[in-house]
Amino acid sequence: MLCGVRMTLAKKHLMKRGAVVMVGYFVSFIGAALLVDRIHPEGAALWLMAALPVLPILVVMYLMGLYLREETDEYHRDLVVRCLLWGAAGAVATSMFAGFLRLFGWKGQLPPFCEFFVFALFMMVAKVTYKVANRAPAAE
Amino acid sequence: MFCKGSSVAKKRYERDILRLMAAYAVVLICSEWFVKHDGHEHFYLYFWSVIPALPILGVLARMGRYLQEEKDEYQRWVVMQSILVGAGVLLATLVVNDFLRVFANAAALPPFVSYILFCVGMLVTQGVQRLRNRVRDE
Repeated sequence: MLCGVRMTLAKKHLMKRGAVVMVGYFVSFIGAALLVDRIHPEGAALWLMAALPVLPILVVMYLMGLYLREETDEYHRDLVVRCLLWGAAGAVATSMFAGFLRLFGWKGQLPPFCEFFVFALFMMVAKVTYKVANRAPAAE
Repeated sequence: MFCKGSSVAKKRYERDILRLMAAYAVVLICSEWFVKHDGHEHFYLYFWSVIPALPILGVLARMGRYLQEEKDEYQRWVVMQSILVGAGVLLATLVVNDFLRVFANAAALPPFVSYILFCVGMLVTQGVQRLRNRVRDE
């Protein structure tokens, strides 16, 4: 059902560029983890290692900005922004929930990358929900 | 500069956001009071930690509805771009913090940081875009 939907040219560009950047993300993620494991950096070098895997994420955001500019189909544009909004809502809510728990006396911490996965999960669920809810056939 | 020529949808949106933020302040104060006085049990602790996040979810949901209601293409474009930048700033900060937690056992971010960063990212982007817009309002 989801694969049968016709993709616009702008969306094809986004998917193609996004896939390349995501490969870059995994390479920088694994590279940074290996380097930290080997050389045990401290201070600025550690911050640099932590910031390295973020660059592909910022590039994905830039690509989404390009997509919003290139996309001529109003519905697709709205869909992307609404999914982004749901992702942000999920990440903010999770982060706030854990923060308040700590503020109120909880001693634990959420596992690392929990908010990031919640962001991705909320985006995916929102996308599937909107696609299922949109019963109009794709325009030619 | 920011208030001139607001559309009806934007006025409604701003009014609802103010209401939600007022609700947030009330809920936050109530949560703290209840936890301090009666809520040290596990269930109540989780309950009172979830409650303050609800008005914030409401704000983001209202933002989505505003995008649906807004007829002015330019205003929508400004909000779309600002959401994108806000989400970028939010994710970048969360991921850097997560890596520092994994690599160096750093502490997690304080409670309001994620939401504040998202809002600051949005506000700065909206400000920059409006400053760049040299066309006068009708």
